[in-house]
Amino acid sequence: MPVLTRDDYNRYSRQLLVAEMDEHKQQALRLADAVIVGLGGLGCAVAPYLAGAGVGRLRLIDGDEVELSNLPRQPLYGERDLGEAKARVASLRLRDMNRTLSVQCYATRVVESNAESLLQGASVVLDCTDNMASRQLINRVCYQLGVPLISGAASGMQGQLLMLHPDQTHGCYRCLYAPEQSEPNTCLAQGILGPVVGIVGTAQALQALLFMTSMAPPNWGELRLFDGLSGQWQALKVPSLKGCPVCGERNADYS
Amino acid sequence: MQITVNDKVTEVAEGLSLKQLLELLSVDENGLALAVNQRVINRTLWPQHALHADDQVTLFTVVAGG
Repeated sequence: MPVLTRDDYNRYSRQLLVAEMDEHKQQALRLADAVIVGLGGLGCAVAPYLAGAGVGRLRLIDGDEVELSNLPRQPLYGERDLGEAKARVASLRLRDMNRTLSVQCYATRVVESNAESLLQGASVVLDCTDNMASRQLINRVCYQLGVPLISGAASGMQGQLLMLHPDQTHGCYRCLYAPEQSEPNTCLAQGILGPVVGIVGTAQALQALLFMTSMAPPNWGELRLFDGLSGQWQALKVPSLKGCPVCGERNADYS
Repeated sequence: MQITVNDKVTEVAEGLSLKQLLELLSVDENGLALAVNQRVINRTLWPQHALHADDQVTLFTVVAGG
């Protein structure tokens, strides 16, 4: 039985008007627990849309502090926040946006020793990190925990979106990229244009909302490539790699 | 036989492997990923994956920034 308050009906009125939405789905969002790892360009796009939509529990994780070079593409932060922990500033902004939510902030990097406890119990993990090592770790822990993973990445004019569900037979992030597969395309090396990373982040947020409300199942195992110059998306399938150390035997179906 | 590489029609020898294709095109494998007919092929399989006529090869870069 939906238990939306009068304020909820008012706050969420526009999204409740969407034909595919209803009170039960709104309530599903309230009961959901989304983990956002990384609060840079991707996280700054993902987080406000999930908070705005009414995702009841949000865990915000980032060990960095706000720098001047972040401001062009990370609109959760302003000049007064320089030097402050991103996780803390972001959580304040989100609480200000929607006080009905539980927003927890973790001003730390996700590393081997804390990954499992940080991601445990999540409805979905949004990988918004900025390096290959963190992405491999988050993929591995999500598969250990059985938590769906919606991963975004951007640099230069290129964006990538990947939807993974450990219970499905497709490949994982490790099947897509080997850890040593070099990483020339970080924002530091290739630069980044704000809207490109914003488009990927909002696409992650949309997929997460579709999943958490059950409005539409994401295309699990799909990698979407975004080209900022043409504005076009391209969809590829990620098959499971035989003998993958992460998604392993149960998913091996490489042809 | 003809294949396409990022939508460009390319004439190559029968049975060419992905690894050989990259050498033929002088493409730097560093930070490169690829798909054949919209299916990603893991890098470890490039030497053994033989191309067929009309295959659509998509070359793209590893992106990990955020």
